[in-house]
Amino acid sequence: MHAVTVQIANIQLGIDVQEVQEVWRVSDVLPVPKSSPMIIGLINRRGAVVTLVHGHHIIDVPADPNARIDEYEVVILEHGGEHVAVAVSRLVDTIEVASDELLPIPPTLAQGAQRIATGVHAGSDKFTVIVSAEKIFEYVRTSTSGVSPMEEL
Amino acid sequence: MDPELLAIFEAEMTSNLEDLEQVLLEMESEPTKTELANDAFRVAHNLKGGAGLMEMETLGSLAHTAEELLEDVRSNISVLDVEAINVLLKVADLSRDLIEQEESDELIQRAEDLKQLLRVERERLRAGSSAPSQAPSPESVAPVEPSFEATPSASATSSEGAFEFDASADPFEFDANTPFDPNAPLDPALAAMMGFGFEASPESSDASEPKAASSAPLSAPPSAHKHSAAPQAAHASAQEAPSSKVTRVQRQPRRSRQASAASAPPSADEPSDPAPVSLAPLPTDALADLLGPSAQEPQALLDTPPPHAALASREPQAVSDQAWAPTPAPVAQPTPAPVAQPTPAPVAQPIPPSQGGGSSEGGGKKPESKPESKPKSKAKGKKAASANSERTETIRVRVDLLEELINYVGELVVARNRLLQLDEIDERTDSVREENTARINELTTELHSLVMKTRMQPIQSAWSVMTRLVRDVALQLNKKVELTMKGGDTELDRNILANLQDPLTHMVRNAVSHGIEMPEDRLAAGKVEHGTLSLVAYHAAGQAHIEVTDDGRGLSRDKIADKAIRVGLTTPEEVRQLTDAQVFDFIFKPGFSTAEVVDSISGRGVGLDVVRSRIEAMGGAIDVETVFGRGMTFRMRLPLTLAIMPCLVVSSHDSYYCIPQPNLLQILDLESEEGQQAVNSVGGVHYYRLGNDLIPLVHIGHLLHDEPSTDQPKGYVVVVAAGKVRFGVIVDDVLNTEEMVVKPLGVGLESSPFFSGTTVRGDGRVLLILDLDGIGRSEIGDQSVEVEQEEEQHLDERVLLLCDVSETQRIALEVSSVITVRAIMDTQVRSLGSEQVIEYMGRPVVLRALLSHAEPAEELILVHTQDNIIALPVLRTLDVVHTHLELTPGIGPHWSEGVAFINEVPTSILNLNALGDGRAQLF
Repeated sequence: MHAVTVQIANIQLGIDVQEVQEVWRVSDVLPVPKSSPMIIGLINRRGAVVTLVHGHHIIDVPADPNARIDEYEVVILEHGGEHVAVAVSRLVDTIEVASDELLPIPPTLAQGAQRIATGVHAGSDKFTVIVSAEKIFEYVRTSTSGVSPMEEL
Repeated sequence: MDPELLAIFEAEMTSNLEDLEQVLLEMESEPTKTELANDAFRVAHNLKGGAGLMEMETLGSLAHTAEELLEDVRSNISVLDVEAINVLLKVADLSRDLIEQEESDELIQRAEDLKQLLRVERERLRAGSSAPSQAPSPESVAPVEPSFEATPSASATSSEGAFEFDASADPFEFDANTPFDPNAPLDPALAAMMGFGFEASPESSDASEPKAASSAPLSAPPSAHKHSAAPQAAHASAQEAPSSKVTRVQRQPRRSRQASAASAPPSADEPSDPAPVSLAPLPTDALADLLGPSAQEPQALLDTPPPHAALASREPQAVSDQAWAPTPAPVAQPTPAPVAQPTPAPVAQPIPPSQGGGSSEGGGKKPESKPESKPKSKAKGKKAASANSERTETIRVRVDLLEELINYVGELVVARNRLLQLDEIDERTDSVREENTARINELTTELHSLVMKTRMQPIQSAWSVMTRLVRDVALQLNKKVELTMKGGDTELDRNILANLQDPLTHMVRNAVSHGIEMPEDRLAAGKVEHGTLSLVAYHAAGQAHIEVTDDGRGLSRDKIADKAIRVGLTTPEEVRQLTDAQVFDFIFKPGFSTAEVVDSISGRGVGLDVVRSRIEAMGGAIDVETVFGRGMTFRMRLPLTLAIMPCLVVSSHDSYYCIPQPNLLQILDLESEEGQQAVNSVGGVHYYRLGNDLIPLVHIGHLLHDEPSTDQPKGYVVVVAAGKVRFGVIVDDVLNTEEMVVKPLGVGLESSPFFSGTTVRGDGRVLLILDLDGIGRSEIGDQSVEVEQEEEQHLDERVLLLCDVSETQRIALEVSSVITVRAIMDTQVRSLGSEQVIEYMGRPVVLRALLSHAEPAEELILVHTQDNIIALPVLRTLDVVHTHLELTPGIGPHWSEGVAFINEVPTSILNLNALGDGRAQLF
């Protein structure tokens, strides 16, 4: 598959291009009061309202509290007809990943990244954690319904 | 298999099977209506063809077997009865399964069993084919009836006198034993219409048909007294609207038959027999039709045009009664005509118009046949044409495609709004551009409203399955139920319709299985044997109203109460104080089912509680009204659409929110001195005193943005009604009202208690729509939550409104149940029978006096009872108190929970459940 690679903090993640609708920068986000801290707010993607979530929160790495939203790249993921926008530090590249090249997920991988990972791709200079949109959606759903695990932490 | 083809096939067949069901159900009441038989046959045949194309053998052979049975019906060999219709309905069910499911051994076995059943039915019907003809259609009956009795024998005799080829074409002759296909000539037509390849023997039978006709003349004399069969045949098929030109071919021979009958009987052997007499008109016309200007009995035509016309314009079936064709004239005509027509006609034209045209077959006869048969056939043709055009007016559109279209138009609306805003800002006046913008505005608005209409569907689509449901359930229980529907064209958003289907099914099923009594019980109760179940829908006040009414036994208060006590919903003490409506409301409570026996029909573990929760989830409401022994009515109110909502845009803490207009009651200014004074804080809860209304307030800034709570809030109070709660929302500013395209909350926000959706404003900004039900529930309806958090001793604290009913009677009632307080002098109190009624938000509210003797009242407290609003006249309202009651139950008036000292005054604590219900007296 082809994977879009992005970086969150110092972790490089790869997402199947099929699951990436587009990547852009946003400036206008509507914060949603009393929602999970993972949720930055809502954005208008050409008439459709999409939840923008913080990539850092998903993989449990600290984000710069002073960063403005337009400093992030926003990756819009599609799964099962629904969309979620994930704010990431930067867009890196696209890589070609053969499924037989995928390595099992090392136990040392940050716990947050583990829950959305499907495997690890070892490139010539860098490891890329391959993640699936499905798992990201699932995580966003479960962690925002009822008690948020983020709040527990 | 090409999945796309398969999908088309599935969709096509599913709709075909629906038609089949409908037709079969109609046939139940009109078994002799050949038109229906043709329809049913067509579907079965279609199914067979489709199955062949899809290589679905099981389905194909099932359809074939069903087709054979229907063929008999269509050819008047047999008439469907209830049992046969049952079996055919099973065919529809199984076909559906076969189409939808993977073919399995179980399905194949079921198909085999059903096929066997079909064959048995076919034989049975054939054997009893004489019987069914006793149920002829009303219009044609009159003149022809007598001849019916003669039918069986007649057919026998006719076969005796038959010619070789006639025999092969005569359905009557082969009655019980030969499986030949009497309607063979139709097959190619159908096959052509359906576009499926199909084994048929068209040519041969076509050929034989005309021959039969042409040969008929020769046999004329012998048939004179056998005619009785003909009228029957003609008659049986009289109702039919021939479905293809082919039918015309067949009609001709029939006419020739009739012609013979016409010429023969009057003079012939049986003057005493009414049949020939009554027949006379028919044949004449037939003759006229065939013979043209020279037709013998012009006045006969005039005598009885109606029956004849009916025959002429319908009736394809009786074709091959060889015995009938005595006239010489036909010889010439039938032959060429049929030959020419069968092939091209069927393809193009399925309907009666062809019949009108039938008269043109033979040039000579055209003139007379015209004046006669034309009016009818023309009317028919018109009808058919309109039916036709209706059919072509609808197309199947994928729902997701439609949704996408709606989304795009929604975006277009947003872009348009933006354009309008830009135009407003821009000061340059450019008339051309302005004009252009105006045009775009106009077009967008129009387009938007049209596209939104595509979501609307008539409720008939949800009702159509009810006919079958009612029939099946009634049959299973040996009940007699007539279903009436009114307002089927009432339109609802398709999402709402989809969600309505299950609740509706449940209610209808309930009504038939539990509501309507057995025929003997009904008779014993002095009712008509047939129960009536009616579905009614209409639009009113921007909502769709749907009613399901039966005239069955209704609900028994005692039975419901007993059951409610047994399942622990209430106690015997409590129940005594409940109104009828409150008791009946138990049927909507989880775990409640009055059915003593869990049966295959109703006891599916889903109760009316689910029905209510489904309806409420759509923003609707449902209640029940019943009179024991007389029946019951479920009333539902539903929003018309979920997609677009007018909203009030407000701001709080620099954020904008939408308040749905339907929730909105009033906007109050807090900045004024008056406004400032109207806000009171009691026990941490703000109330706004509006006149004598006491409205709890929710500060949005505090609720959503953690603004510190203040005793002197600023801004505006937007008074809203949500569910049964009425409260005020404090916002900083109130902007404007806009039509909003409602969009769902994004992923991860679904569980938010404060927001129900989002929308995009004209400037492209996203707005959140406040969920006032949720806010009302969490902030107003459930204040105990807040109390709990404070201190344990507050747990049983109650917030009560104190008032004096008279100088000596003080009462206290839950503030949460109070809607508003009004000065009686400002309120128009009207009489309704013995009741006194006031108007509140457009609805009548009944006054309930707490004291039996008249006391001067100055204020009215409007309160929610369990399911209604009533008004309590009081002398004056005093205060709101937060108190721990040390209640002494069992003393005080009957409507009180007991008496407690509040502020050292003995006070009766009002039990709202013990108050009379407004509705029971009102309706």
